[in-house]
Amino acid sequence: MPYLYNTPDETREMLDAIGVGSIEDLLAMVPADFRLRRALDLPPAMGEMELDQHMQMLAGQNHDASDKVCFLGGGAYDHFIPAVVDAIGGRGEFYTSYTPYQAEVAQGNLQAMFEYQSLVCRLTGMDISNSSLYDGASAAAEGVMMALASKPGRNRVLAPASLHPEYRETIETYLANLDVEVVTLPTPAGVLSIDELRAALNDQTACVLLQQPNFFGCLEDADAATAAAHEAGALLISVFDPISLGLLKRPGDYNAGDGADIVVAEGHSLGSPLAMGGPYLGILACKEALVRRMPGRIVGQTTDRRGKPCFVLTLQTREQHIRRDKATSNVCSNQALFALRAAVYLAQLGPQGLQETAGLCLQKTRYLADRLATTERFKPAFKVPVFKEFVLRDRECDVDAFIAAALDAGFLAGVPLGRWYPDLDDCLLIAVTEKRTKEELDRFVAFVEALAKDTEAAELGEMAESFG
Amino acid sequence: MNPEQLLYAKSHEWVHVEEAGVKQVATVGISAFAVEALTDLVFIELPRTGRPVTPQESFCEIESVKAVSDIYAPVAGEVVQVNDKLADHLELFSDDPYGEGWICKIEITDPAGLKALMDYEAYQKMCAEEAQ
Repeated sequence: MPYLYNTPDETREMLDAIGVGSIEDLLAMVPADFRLRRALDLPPAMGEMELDQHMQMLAGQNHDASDKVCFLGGGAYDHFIPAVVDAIGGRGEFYTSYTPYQAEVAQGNLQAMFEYQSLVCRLTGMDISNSSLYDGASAAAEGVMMALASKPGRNRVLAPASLHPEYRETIETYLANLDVEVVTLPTPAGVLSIDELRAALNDQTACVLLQQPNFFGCLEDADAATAAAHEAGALLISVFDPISLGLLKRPGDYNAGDGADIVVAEGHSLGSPLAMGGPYLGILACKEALVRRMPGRIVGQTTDRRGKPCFVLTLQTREQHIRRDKATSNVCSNQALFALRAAVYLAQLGPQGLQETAGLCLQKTRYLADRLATTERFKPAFKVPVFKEFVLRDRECDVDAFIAAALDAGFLAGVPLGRWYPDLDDCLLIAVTEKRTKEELDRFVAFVEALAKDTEAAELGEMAESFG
Repeated sequence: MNPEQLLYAKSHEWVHVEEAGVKQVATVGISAFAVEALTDLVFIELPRTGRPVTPQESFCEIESVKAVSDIYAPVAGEVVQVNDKLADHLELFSDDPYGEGWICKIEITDPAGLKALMDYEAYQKMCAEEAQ
């Protein structure tokens, strides 16, 4: 479909057709406070070459993982993206098509989504996956809505403090106008205490969210949490890291195959680049019994009139365009391009490649965590096994200054935790992916050690001056 | 059951009332006309036993390939029995809508709702009008 702007004549014609006097009248219901009452703050028009240079100059002011050594995590990571992902994900058929779900003309797109769903099911040990949601946080919130809908009469949601804080905020936003209580269980040791979980569970609890590895990178006792949730008649929603499943137990296999009921994840690690906070990929899969509560699009395989296999959107009566106010969710779209990239990524790596990638993350993370723990500046915040992220306490209690100094030295050092956790405001969350080389890790450790010496020298200098 | 002996709601549920000691129990289903109108049924969400219902309240849902329809309680009372077989055998609706295809039994607490129901003849007339 060609993209054409509207001429004034066409605009007039459309306004006449719907019986509105002007564009202003059309927007009359937007409150004045939300209207921009001035022209956009843009410089005068430029020629193409000049504009290109101008944009390059602006882009050059960004710090990013391509010119800095990136230890940023907390939900989005600097993982390697094989060239084939861009090659296939960049094809016009996938890159520009909008909602191409007419079975008669979109078999290729539908099959791509079907393959994505199949891969997600194999990866997680679940029965059914949808064809993706917007991001990990909204997938977690949709999972909670599913749990509440399938447990009528129960209105409590248990979320450990070790769940990504922004996921919790998203869940609370979704639930803001519902009579549902979100209970946050503290995790001072870096992981959820199973005894505290048991104590908090009751017959009003619809679900327990468990992130594995959790927001701090620590490994939770997923088996025990699953058992505890199920004993109380609640569902277990697993928030997982797709890369970690190269090594860790699949959520569907928790507690000797009892398994999580709903699994959600940020799928960004599977072949999508870091790009200023998105676009992301929301993964959501579940056990078959919950499928009618599942939001979003599901592609199914069937046969056509000639008996040939083909792909269609299926179980659409779940969705809001049919179910209206009775739908579990108002999601009516998906992240097709990023789901496709995830499918290509997983197909390219295969089980062994994913295992190797996860193994490299684990080993490099362990190496850096151990090295940094020996520096004078940092000590480990928690004594729990980690996967690809860990939390350090800054003995100087000046995380922001450390991050600024690291940036000057060419490192994106990590995510400060104080903005979400007041009791961790001297803490830094550091992520290490398979992309980090030993040389980079050693260089970072050397930088930390040198910084300590500089600080010491500066302090001695100050003392010498004061005794002057 | 004989469809001519049943009562009908405007929303196409049929009701059969039995005396059970001092209590009245209503068996509820949906009419052959409704089953045909819904076309291919794919799922029913049955009510829970013990659930209180009031007349015209949607208390369960039935899904066809293209739509979701509510099933409304024809009387006030409490669901005392549910036809669990339906969940996996939706064909019972089309094979035997007035027998094996019953949905649930409601113990009536207030028979007032029964007055609003139609007899077979009135219901047939209504369906004929709807079909036009």
